[in-house]
Formats: sequence, structure tokens, C-alpha cells
Amino acid sequence: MALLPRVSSLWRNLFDKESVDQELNEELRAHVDLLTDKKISEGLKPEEARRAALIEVGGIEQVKERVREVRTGRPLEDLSQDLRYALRGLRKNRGFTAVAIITLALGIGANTAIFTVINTVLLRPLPYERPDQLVALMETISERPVGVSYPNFVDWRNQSTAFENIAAVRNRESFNLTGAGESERLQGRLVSANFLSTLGVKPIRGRDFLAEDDQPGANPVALISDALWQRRFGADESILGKQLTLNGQQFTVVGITPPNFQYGSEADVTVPIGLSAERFKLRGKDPGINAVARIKPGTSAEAANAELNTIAARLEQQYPDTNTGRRLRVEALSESVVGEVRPILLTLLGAVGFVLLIACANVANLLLTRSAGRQKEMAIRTALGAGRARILRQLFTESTVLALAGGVVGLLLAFWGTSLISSYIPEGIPRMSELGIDGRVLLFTLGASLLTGVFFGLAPALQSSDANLTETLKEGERNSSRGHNRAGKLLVISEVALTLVLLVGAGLLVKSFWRLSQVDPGFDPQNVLAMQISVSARPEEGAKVDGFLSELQSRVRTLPGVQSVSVSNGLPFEGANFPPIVIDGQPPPAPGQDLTGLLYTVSTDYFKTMRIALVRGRLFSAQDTRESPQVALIDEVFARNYFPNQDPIGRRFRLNTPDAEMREIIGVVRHVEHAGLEGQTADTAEFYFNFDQVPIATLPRYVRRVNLLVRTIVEPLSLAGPVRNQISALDKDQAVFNVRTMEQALSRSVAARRFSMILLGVFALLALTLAAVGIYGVISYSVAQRTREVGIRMALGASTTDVIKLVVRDGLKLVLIGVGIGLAGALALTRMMTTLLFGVTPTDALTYTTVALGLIVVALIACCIPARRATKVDPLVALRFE
Amino acid sequence: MKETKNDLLKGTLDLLVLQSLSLGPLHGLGVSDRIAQITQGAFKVKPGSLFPALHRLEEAGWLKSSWGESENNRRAKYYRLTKAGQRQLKVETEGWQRISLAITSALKAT
Repeated sequence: MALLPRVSSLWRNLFDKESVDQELNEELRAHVDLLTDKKISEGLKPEEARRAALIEVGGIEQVKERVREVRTGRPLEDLSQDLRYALRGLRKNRGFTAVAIITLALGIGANTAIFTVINTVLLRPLPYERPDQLVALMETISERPVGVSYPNFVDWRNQSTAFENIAAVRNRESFNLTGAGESERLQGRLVSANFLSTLGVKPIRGRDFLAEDDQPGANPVALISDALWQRRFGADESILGKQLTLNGQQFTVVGITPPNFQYGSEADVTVPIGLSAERFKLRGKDPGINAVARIKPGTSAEAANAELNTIAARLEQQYPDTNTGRRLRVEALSESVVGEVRPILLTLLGAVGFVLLIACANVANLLLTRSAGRQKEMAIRTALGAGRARILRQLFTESTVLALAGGVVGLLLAFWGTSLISSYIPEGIPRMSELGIDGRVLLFTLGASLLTGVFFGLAPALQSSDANLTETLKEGERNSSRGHNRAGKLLVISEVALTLVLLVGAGLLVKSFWRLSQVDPGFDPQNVLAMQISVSARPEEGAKVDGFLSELQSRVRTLPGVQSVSVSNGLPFEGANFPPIVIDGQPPPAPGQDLTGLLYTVSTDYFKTMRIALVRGRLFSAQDTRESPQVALIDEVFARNYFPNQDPIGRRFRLNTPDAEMREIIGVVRHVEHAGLEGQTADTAEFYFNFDQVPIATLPRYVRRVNLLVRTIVEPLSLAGPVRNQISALDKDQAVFNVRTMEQALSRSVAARRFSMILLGVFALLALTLAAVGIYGVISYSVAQRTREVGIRMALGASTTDVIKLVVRDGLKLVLIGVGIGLAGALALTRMMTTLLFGVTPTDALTYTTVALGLIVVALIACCIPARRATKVDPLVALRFE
Repeated sequence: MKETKNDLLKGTLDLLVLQSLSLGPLHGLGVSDRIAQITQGAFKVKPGSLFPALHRLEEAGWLKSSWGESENNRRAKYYRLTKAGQRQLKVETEGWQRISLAITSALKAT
């Protein structure tokens, strides 16, 4: 078929409609004239001829409509007509439109915001080259992941063939930058030379590390981050080749890493791990690294896993003391980055999905109410020849317009919500720096809006299509409410059920959080100021360090408001060493069965400062010195695990290193929750050494990371400034970082939990509000429909209470059915939340009862308002109401 | 006389309209008269079918319309076949003959 005439007709039909119609008019008029002439010539009188002609044509308007129907571009024209009509209808009904759009916007906005987070965290590929080939290698002991030992890593790298590259990385190393300008504490990482190339990342200036850089004794080189380069060096190109003083050692800057490059955490400086190979030389007890590898194309993760475990078995035979029971696990890098947050994100997505469904139900009900009022209009349109398809299309156009408007407003809400989320999101949710709305999110919003439109448009469309034409025209508007009531009831039931599920989910999280906040951490976090200092000292400067620490403590102790001061290596919620030990008089443990415990090296006043209670024996005192017998304190778990049914006081143990001295246990203290309130370390033994007994020679190693703890009788953070002043008065190059109170540290440890609880709570409340509004709407409508009935009842002597009872009973019936379905749904769905709960089962009866009762009360209130209004009905007016 | 409106196959109506215009331009009434004439009154096309067909064929590029004077001096819209329309007439004629032949032989072969 020829395209050109089509296009030109389309153009004319769409943009020159008036003259096209005009022409059709004239053509048909001419036709009637010609026909009349013909009839006259056949012998009829002029008037008769005209009438006969008109009868033969059979309705000029219908002929015209049929011509219009075959015109090119007719569907487009219909669409624009529908759109114009829909917009006019929405404009005319501003209140309805506003409520519907706001409701939808809340639903769609919440979904878009959560989807944005999910898109960023779970769906977008990791920002490295061919990320699907990247895997994390983990060492495990009895299925539990442990830090990878560097010597093992070197063996895998040399022996395996399944990988293009295996790289080592140790994050969160700290570096003191001194020299020109203010001294500064920098986050850094140690990496093997191939780290960046494994990920497929190239420095933006200078060069990557070479294999020669990654050797003990090599000339020290460093990469700096783009951020540090901009901030500290003003993006000066001449930085390459310059020297930086990091932890007292000179490093040559050889390159700059790209902006926003991240791996696990941000790092301002990156240095080759081989430079500090000395620290990592012990196979069993090195500080641990992470390993990331790129699998060769065509090799499966399973094959790689099998090969690595063959190597691990070989190492086990070769080094039974350290490698017994050590296995390997290969995991997709994306999984190891985001695997942990998946349950909470999916829970939240489910929650906002429910909110959107409830919003849909509300808008569907609004539309039903509106379309009940339009029943007559629809009947008239049908009578005038509009087909059912045409009317359905009209209704769907309206709901789609509404949904898209809701989507646009929702997108604005999501922009705002996403920035709110990203500013409150706790650390520990990975990839948040990449958070943003992209094409996929927009597509999601569009899809959600359209689906929503179809969904809530369905109810009025179905209803209007089974409307009986003659009945409707004959009976007026009263009778049309039956279908509406049925749909309204269904909507109320489903809203209540959905809301109940959400409320139960939120309730379980709230209860978990409450349970968590009741956990005694074993120390008193109130009024404790903590800060970290990193003392750089050469190995021979032990005495100087000792002097610095005691001078620092005695200076801070004299500050007004200070109750006690101590220093520690190792701190709850912060980290501590986890060395193996040997107990005097017990046989040495079998390989792989090491006795271990968390080691805190603390000064005398630590227990006073942290308020850790003594259970038996005595605490450290000033009498414990380097010259006196070496002593140690243990916690209850240590005593229970290693001295079951024995008195540990007076027993001796030592670290499992060749040169370690035996220490005598002088006391038992309370167990401290080291890694978090969820009991992650409930069965982990803890023990304490005295800072004053650390040999002078090894002191410099202990103070690379040391906590200064201050118990105050005033607001702890108000002392941060004075304490800092004391530190810089002692040593102006001393960087201080991570200043916080122990209460903050504690609350940070539950931040992710609190965050998900608050989000789910907000969504549940949103759902509750929407559902209450929905119930109110449905009940109001049915009360309005029953005005006459209520009037008759009151005229026959029904009291106000009777009427309220009547209305409320009807509403309550629906709510109770909804609650029943919701309880069943909650039982089924909350099982998936188990990993998010603490100290509460997914079937917690108290939560279910409270939530169900609360929901029933809210629903009752929503029913009572229209019920009370019903009692205000004047029987006379009601009876006349028609 | 046979009543034909919607039950007249669309293709048949098109064919008749094209055929009626093959001898020269006609206005709408002319087309319907001519169809009645060439089918010996078997088909009487009503305006409700005629005008949509004319407009459809015109938009397809097979007819072209222009205003002219009728024999008794009335302004009327005349339709004539275009080149494409003549080709289409040939195609449809052949198609129709094939079908009619097939149906005829089918009906004979009892």
C-alpha cells in the first residue's frame, strides 16, 4: 500500500481536522441535494423528495461518524480525545484528583526510593572490569570464615592455575601523614602489586605497582587517592615522584587512583603489602588479609574451588600445626560484598510493595465511588452508540493518566527520600556512595505507575461493563451501589490484611530492637569518651613511648570533669587481637584445636573507667610492674571454657608463641560483648594483660593503635577539646582520630538494625494511615447509600446507639475477616525475616496480638466517624432523599 | 431488491466502487447509481457504506477527489481512479475471479 498518500491523509486528518470535516459536510449536503433532485425528476414534490432523500441517507451524523471511523489516524485521535476528556474530568474534580495523586505518589515514591537502593546495591554490576569473573577467596575453619593468612595466599598464587590473577588486600590500615602541613591520619590499604590490575582499574596519573615494588626491602612506593590528591595537594601534577612521610617512613608517590575507586572501604593511600612482609610471615597468626581473584574465562567457580581445596589439603599436610582444618571457599565478589544486606533490602521492597497495593486499593475505591456517580453518564454514552471497548478505553485512559501523574510526583518524593536515606544510612551497607537514580529506576517507576493504573482502573472498568443499561437509566443512581459495595468490601478486607502483615513485620523488628537495647554489654558505656591515637615510634624507642603514655594519662586525669583515665589496645566494638594460648598444666592442643581468646592490653584504671565488674580475685594495681610477677585477668567465659568446675585464680597460661612468658591469673571479670549486642562473642573467652607489664622493647608495636578512654562526670564530648589539647601539647605531630563516646560506639553497632526498623516502621504507619482512610471512605460511602434505610429505622424508633452499632458492626465484620487473613499471611511471610530478628520468634504471640488489637481499634475509629454522621440524619430529609 | 449494508464483503464493495469509476469520474450518488446499474439492481449501496468506502479508498491513494459541477449545475465532489487505483482494480478483479471460479466449481462438485 502506498505510503505517501497515507502520510498526507494522516497529516490532514490530525492537523487540518476542521477543513476535512467541513468538506465532508459539504459533500454530504451535496449528496442530499443531488438525491432530492433525482427524486423530483422521478416525479415527487420538492418537500416529499427532500424527506425521501433524508430517509434514504439515514442519519447524516451517523454517516459522518462512520466515515471518521475509517480515517487514517483515527486511533491517535481517539487517544487524544480520551486524554483531553480525562484531563478535563480530573481538573473538574480537584479534591478527588489531589487525594488520588498524593496516595499514589506515596506508594510509588516509597517503591522508587527502595528500588533505587536495591538497584545500586544489588542490581548494578560492581564498578570493576568484567565483574562477573571476580571472586573473593575465603579461608574457613569448620565452615566459619577467618582472615586469609598471607603465607597461604602466596602458596595459592604460586600453585593454582584457575585464575588470571590472585591479589591480596588488607583494608583499614592507618597511616600518619606527617611533614609539610598539618599532620593527618589517613585510611590506607596494603595490597599485592597486582591488586588494581586484577580489578581492571588503572591509575589516572603515574603508574601501577610493579612486582619489584612488592618485596621486603624494596624502595617504598605509594599510590594516593584522587580525593587526597585534590584535597591535600591541590591536584598538583608534580606530586608524582615526591616523598611522603607515612608512619615515619618515606614513600615515593608513583600514581593516583581514580576518583570514587573503592574496594570495601575508601583508602587515601595504597602501599605494597610486600614491604611489610615481616608482619605477615607467620602462617597461623598473621593479621589476615582478604584475597580477590579473577577466574580465567571458561573456568567455573566450582573448578576453581576444587583446585584451591586440593592446594589447601596439600598445605594442611605440609603445615599441620597451622593449617589443620583450614578450607577455602570461592564466592562471587558481588555476593561477598552485598550478600549480607540482601534480606533486609528484599524485606523493605516487599513492605513498599504492600504499601503500593494499599494505595491502589484506596484509589480504586475512590474511582468506584466516582464512577457510581457517573453510571448514568456511561449509560447515556452507550445509548448514543459508544461501544463497550470504547468506554473501557476511556476509563483506562483516566486511570493511566492518574497513575502517571502519581508516578511523576512519586519520583519527586523518591528523589527526596533517596537523599534522606543516603544521609541516614548507617555504615556497613555497601556501595552507598554510588547511590543514584538511573535509567533502570526511571523504567521501574514508569512500569510501577502503569501497572498501578491498570490495577486500580480494573475495578471501575469491570463494574461499568456489567452495568445493565436499561436498569441504570430507569432506576437512577440508587441501585447501582450494590456492585460497588461488594468491591468496596473486598478492598477493605485486603487493605486490612496487607496492613496487618506490615505491622507485624515492623512490630517484630521493634521488639527485636527493644530486646537488643536491653542487653547488658558488660560495661557501662555512659560518660566514657574514647579516642584513638597512633603513636609512631621506632623499635628502640620503647622507653619514650612508655613515658609518653604515662605522662598523657596523668595530664588528662587532672582535667576538670575527669573521673578516671586509661589506655588500651583492644576495645569492645572496635577490635582486639585473637591469639592462641597455652594453659600451664594442660596438654598442648591438637593442631587446628587452638585455645583462643580476645586479648585486651589495658592500663590499671581500665576496669574503673569502663566499669567492668570484678567477679573474683583482684584487679590490676600499681604494684604490677615490669619487674613484678606477670599477671593476667580473665573473664567468666574464659574461666568456664578453660577451667570448668575449677578455681582459675592462681593458674597460669601464656600466648602460644615461642618467647611468651607464663602469666598468673589474679582475677575474673564480667564478660563483655565485644563484637555487638547480638551475642556474637557470647562464647568467646576474653583476657586482659597489663600495659605496665608489656616489655619495653615490644611497646612500640602495641601503640600503633591505642585507645585513650576517659570516664567523665560531665558530658563526655565536652572534654574532647581539652584532651586533644593535652595530646598536642605533649607531641604536636600526634594525630587523634575516631573521637566518640562509648554510647555512640554502641549505638553505631546497632545502627543498621535501627535503620531498617525505622524504615519498616514508617512504611507500616503509612500503610495504616492509608488503610484507615480507605476504610473510612468505604464505610462513608455505604452509609451515604443507606441514608434512606437509616431514616426509616430512626423514624421507627431506632436510637442513636442502634444506628452506630449497625454501621460499626458491618465495618467490623470486614475488618475482622481482614485481620484473620492478615494473621495467616504474617505467619507465612515473617518466617523469611528470621535473620533480621533478635530475641524474638517470627510467631511472637504478643506482637501479633498487640498489632491485631491496635489495627482493630484504628479501624473502629475509622468506622465510627461515618457512623456518627449517620445518626445526624433527619428522618424526614432521609425519606425524601431520592 | 437485495438489501446490502454491512453484509456486503468489504473487498466486494471496494471492487464495485473501483469498477464503477473505471469509465470516468463520478460523484457519490453517481457511484451508487452506477453500481446499481452494472449489477442490474442486485446491489444498492447506502450512504452509510458508500462514503466510508470512498474515503478509505481515497486515503489509500486509489481514488482522487475534486469538486466539480453536476449535470444540473450543483456543486458535487467527484471521484476518479488514480494509476494506483487502476492497478488495484486489476489485482482485485483477478482475485475475485479466482475466488468465484473456485466457489463455483466447489458448488458444482457435489
